Amino acid sequence: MNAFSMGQGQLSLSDAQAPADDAPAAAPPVPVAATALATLPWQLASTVWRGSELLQRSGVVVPTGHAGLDRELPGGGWPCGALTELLQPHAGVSEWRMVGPGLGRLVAEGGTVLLIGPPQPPHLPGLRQYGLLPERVVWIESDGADRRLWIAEEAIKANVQGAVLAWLPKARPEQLRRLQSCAQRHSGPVFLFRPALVQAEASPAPLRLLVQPGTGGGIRLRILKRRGPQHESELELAALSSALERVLPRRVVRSAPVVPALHHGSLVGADSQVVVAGLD
Amino acid sequence: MAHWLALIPKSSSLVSTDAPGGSQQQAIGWWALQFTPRVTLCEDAVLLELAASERLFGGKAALRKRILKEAEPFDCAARAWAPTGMGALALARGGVRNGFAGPLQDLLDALPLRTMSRVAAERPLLARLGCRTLGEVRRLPRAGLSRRCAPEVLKALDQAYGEETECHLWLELPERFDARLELPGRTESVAALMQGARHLLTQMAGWLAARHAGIRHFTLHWHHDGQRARAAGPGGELTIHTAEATRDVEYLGRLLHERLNRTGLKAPVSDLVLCAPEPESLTAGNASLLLEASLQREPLHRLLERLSARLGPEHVRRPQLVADHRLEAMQIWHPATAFQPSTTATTGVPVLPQPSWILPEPLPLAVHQEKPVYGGVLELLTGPHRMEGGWWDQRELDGRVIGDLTRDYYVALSPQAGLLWIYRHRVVRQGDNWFLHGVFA
Repeated sequence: MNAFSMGQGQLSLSDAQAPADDAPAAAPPVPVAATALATLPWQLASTVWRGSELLQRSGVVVPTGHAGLDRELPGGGWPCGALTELLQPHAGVSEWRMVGPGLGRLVAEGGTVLLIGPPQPPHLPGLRQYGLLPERVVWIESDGADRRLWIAEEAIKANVQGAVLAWLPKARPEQLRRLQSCAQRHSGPVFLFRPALVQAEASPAPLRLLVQPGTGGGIRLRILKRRGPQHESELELAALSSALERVLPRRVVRSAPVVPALHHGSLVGADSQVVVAGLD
Repeated sequence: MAHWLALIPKSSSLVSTDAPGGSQQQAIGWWALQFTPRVTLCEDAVLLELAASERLFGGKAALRKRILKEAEPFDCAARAWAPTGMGALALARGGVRNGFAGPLQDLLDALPLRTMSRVAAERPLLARLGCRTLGEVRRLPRAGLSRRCAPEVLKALDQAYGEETECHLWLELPERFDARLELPGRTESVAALMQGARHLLTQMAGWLAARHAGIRHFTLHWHHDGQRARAAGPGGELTIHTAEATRDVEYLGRLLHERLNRTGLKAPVSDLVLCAPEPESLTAGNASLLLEASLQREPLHRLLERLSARLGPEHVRRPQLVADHRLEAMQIWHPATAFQPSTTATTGVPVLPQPSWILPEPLPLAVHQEKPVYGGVLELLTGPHRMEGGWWDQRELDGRVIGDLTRDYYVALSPQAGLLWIYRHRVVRQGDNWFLHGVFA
């Protein structure tokens, strides 16, 4: 399913070192691939990306504003110059809590946020709480799937500083591929909001997240696709605006869970030691 | 030494009716005025005297390169450089590009008679005398030649060879751009009309370039054919506004095309008139030394203008915040083309939570066992946040009446729809009493 999660055989290489620190006596045998890599000159070795690792040298990113999510994303944030697909069971439930903090930073740097076909009218006083200034928000309304695609393509091609957010429930994979190729020349992030039903469809977006409402106003998140090992567990983000956090009862805010530390063990599936080492 | 350039436009099928020497020639002439005030329309060509402008444009080579590059859209049939104007014209017709490559006399001597119209007029006589090139004409005895043919022949030859001063009537720029174009055929299609309109836009861009100016608005009028249906009227017009002064033909053409597509033509069109009333001076953009990504950026206002032209201005909106306590009156959306960023300080960040989506109309909620339901039974997390008053400001906004209200707002949690901003009328009415008004998405 995930095009980037190949090379399972090499996996233990990166993980092999971690437990070795804790228990040198029980160090697993080093696979042949590791020794081959060790003999490479460092310039070359540093350019080899192992399937087990998150791609750290990906292009420019914008921090998401959620520390727990940043740790799981290649490069540590929303990718720029690529599509990011956010799939939700229902549109209009958790968009701003997901992307709002990141967009706030873009706007602070002088960016503009283009909204293409949002499910509801945006409410600027609420967006202001994420740092989105009213003069930096543009709402482009259009019915008709083809027309929205056209707008999205024009907006991405124009490469206006900032981000493009488009709600494209009916886009087909080949249309997305076209957008993705346009997005490669865009200098900011491009978010596509789509229904959760399309998660089985192929997608050219290098980052796909499934976003669902979690307990107590939080967000449950699954990373369906990323440039790195497949992420199988679920993330829970608190993701409340500070104003909401202040007024909501303690039990709600507290029930928003602590994000587990990063672990790449899920791909190996067996090595629970790695997770423990990661938590330390 | 004088430095002349001759440009011969291609003969065009589109003919402007009230331009004296063909519209393309005039368009090139106007455009050329940005490089030098000494531009003249001579026979079928445009002649430019550039010696005085060389330093301003960074030297002879730089100026030539720039002129040739910017002349590309005009698609000239021939061009030539030479130390004299008439000489440059003759060389251009003869297919010689550089009149500085050797002594001008040698270059001109080799040209055939047809390259100078004055000489070509005496061709039967000269042919009988055995002359085929200009050089051979020059070698004839002057006195005999001046007796046998018109005096202009010798004068033109002397001017071309630089032995007599040339005098030209320099081209002057009209104060107002107002050009008319007769289309080659009656057309009902926007694409065919655009071809003519682009032609006019190129002319206008040349006129603007000469004035070092741009425009914010221009009007295209079109006249319907005489055989139109009566209902169609005599014609139509379209005014295009841009946020910034510009003379970019490509961009203006795209805007015009989008608008024409939306407006449509009611009857076949026979001619077009383009008016540009108020040119504004345009400062040239600074070129950057750094290779920046911004070089490939399209300015936001241009993107929004293009989208507005295609979708309709009411579909591309930008917000303005209003200091009001009522949720539905807190913001106004303006068409992006009419948007002026507010100069007054914007209202600060609200301290209390505000939803990020607002429903266009509050949605009445079903009630199950006295609890409101929306994607499951709602759990009221916090509230009430009481909102009252507004009797002093009763008005209609976007088709809804806003005015006095008495509402208690709550943050509610729905199992499927997340955090909601719902309210209940404090004065209990019949029927629906819980409403969904916003979402903390």
